[in-house]
Amino acid sequence: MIIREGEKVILFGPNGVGKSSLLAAILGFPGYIIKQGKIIFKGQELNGLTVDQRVKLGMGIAFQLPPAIRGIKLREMVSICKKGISAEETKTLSSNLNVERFLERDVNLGFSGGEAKRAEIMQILAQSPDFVMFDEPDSGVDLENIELIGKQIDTFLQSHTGLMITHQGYILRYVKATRACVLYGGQIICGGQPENVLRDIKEKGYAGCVSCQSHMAEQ
Amino acid sequence: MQPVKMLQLYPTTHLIGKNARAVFCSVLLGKGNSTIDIGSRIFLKAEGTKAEVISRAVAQDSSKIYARGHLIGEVPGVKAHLECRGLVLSPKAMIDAIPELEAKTENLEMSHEAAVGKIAEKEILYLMARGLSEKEATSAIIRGFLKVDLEGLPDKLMDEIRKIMEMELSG
Repeated sequence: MIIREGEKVILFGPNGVGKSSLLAAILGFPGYIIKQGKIIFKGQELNGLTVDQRVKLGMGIAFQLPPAIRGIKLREMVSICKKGISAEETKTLSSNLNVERFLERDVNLGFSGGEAKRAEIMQILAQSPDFVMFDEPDSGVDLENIELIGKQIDTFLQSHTGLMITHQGYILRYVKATRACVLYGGQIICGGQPENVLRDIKEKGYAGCVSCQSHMAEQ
Repeated sequence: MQPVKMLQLYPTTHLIGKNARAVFCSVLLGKGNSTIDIGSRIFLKAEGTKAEVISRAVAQDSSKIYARGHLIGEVPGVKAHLECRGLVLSPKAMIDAIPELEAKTENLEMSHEAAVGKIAEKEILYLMARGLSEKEATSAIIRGFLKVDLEGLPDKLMDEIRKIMEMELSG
């Protein structure tokens, strides 16, 4: 799998196929062992680097299910993401993502699914990594907020590189992705124009992708 | 600060006036060979009384922390809550949370919530994914964990407590 600078790649695949595991492995979470292959970022091999070392190289992730941390407010998380962030910038970011009223609350504690997702996007926009992985930023989010999140992500990705997991693909109305990949049975079995790939998955199912693979030429 | 050898404390409050309210808050940091045995007991004896016992305990090195709390509801309609959270940060340290609720009549509301464990790895990774090192992430979580609203304390005393905690945690 190769993601070039400036690309916005969508990762499709059935539940449990390892999409989140792939993201965790790229970021170097413990418990994920690279048995084969290499992860290379900006020409540097990452195998062996810790999570924070990879983050310092310019990677970031918006979590699917971020944990709550007692005693650390969303505002503090944002200033961890961007050291020395001004109160004004925090205010603008939080109002763009409709999370102003969560700034003084313990991060993710008692947040609904959609609220936690918006808080994630806010943090990642503050952090502004060169390469961002979004793990289902749209699941559990209502339609209006998908539009809000989607537009924010799209604006951000105009000058950054991204990899995004999504199932429904509704968010693709707002996020202009350049390419999609299908992960199935431990391999990337197909890829191509996101709309076309999603349409075929909806019609034939993931199993259908195995025999079809017709979008490979679009890559 | 030198760790104490042994510290015991068990204040007891009797709520006898109508709508009286008592809150006990303890923030405990065990270091070295310290044994800290702290608890509080509140009797709810009058109509409309409320009681709350909150403790946060962090056990390092080979310290032992006993976090006790005993709430006794004697009349209907009273409310009492006990909250005890602990982090054990060394294989030789120990926390023993002993919450007790005693309801001596009907129609009252008494609850407790106790959680003792290690720092969740997921929380450390979350902070590392935002750029903190493992060590920085761990101390940020401990700091957050110990941050409780100590209602009613004068600002000056509150500042002093924060300063001591900062010093102890960074040392």
